[in-house]
Amino acid sequence: MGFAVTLIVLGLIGWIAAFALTIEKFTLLADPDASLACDFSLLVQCRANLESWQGSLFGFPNPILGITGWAAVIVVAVALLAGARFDRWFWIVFTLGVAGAMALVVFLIVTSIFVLGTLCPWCMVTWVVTIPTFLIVVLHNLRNGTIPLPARGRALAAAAYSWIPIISLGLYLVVAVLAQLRLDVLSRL
Amino acid sequence: MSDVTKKARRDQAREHARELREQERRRKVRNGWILRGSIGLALIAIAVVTVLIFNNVRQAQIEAEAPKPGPANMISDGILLQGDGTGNIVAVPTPAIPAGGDYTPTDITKYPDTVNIVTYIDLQCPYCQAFEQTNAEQIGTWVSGGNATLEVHPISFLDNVSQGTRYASRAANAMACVAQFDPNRYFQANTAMYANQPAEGTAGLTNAEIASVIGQAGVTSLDVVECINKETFKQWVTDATARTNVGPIPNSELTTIKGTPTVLVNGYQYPGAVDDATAFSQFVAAVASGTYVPAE
Repeated sequence: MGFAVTLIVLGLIGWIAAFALTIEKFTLLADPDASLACDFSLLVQCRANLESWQGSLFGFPNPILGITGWAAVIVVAVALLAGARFDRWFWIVFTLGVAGAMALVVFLIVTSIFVLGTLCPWCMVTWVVTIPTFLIVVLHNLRNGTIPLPARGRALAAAAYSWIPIISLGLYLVVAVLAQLRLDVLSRL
Repeated sequence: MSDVTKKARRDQAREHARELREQERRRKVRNGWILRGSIGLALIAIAVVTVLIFNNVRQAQIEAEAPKPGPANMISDGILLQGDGTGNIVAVPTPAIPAGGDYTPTDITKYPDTVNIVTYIDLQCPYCQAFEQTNAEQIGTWVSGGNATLEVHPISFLDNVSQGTRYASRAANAMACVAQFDPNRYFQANTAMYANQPAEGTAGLTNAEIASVIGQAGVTSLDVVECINKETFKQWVTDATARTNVGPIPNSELTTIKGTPTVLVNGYQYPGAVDDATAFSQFVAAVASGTYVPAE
């Protein structure tokens, strides 16, 4: 129950961010000189991210992945609320998808901070929701045995599950500290 | 009757136990959130402290790397000394080299009536000491009598012979401090530094000992002591030394300074022995009278 509701909330936030980024990308494609709503400064902007090759890693803008991926998360979570049961293979595919999203986000975080030197608002929203989504889905499937693990590992996953807010906070802080050290965010706001 | 009472008692006990369990469960949940909250706050504190530490380090780096002005009265990288007409040696006042700026050579055409002696010296170098102790007195006489000017360029070649204490650079910095804060005692301070020159391969003089040596020459300004301790002109010493390595050497035919002491008289390099006062005075006389012909 908590699992499904949390996923719905995270999914909605992630979907809104992906949708907003897609719209900004359309604006940029229609008029490369357009001023974007998400461009605030040299540091806080999404233009550089949208225009970079990393912003279209698979040949099309990344937020398209977000729009479809987060929709899948929302549908799965809503189905759970309605009492749906999924086979093991379904959960494994779903977990792989979420893990792929996490891998992509880690790559984009590193790219944004260390290569582009920007903090893109909607991208950061995506980072913020992808991290706990990944933790929730993986730990949930580890603790209930969908992903097979010895009893001790399952107990550990169950314990870690109740620590997801703190683990997420810790990861946010790692990203924040990296951004601060690399981009000196505080003195450039 | 009694059965009913027993059952009621049992139910009551069960209810009580249930309540206790519920209370215990709530307590655990509450403690769990207190623990998580505390750890969350601790993580935030660690992140803040990390950022603060790195910021301080970065700030210190920026300050250390920011260009600073050179010493006053040494805009040519050297201090120009002349007689004041009453038998004293005084420095020609100049502004400092501005932060990040380059040096301005002395305009020697302003001094047509004097022999113009320029020395490039390292305060750690024994040959410089020999030259100084052999010739300082007569140079001092010429300068104070208005017959010569002396431009001293303290540079640092010999940092590697003071057991890692960088005596040559600290000593050059100390002389720059004197040039800035007590320029008219530069000549005496320079003589005192050579009189107390540490042997090569020793740890050199400490900053306090340098301040004491210069103090004995009459330079007692606290600004100089602070300037020596903070090594205020460290960057200038490095830059000025580098400029002599790159060249050209102004008012001369030299491209670079290849060793210390390098002594120029009206642009001609003194080729003689550093410890031969007669040879040097004859050289100066020859240059001054225009009869000196440099060896090819």
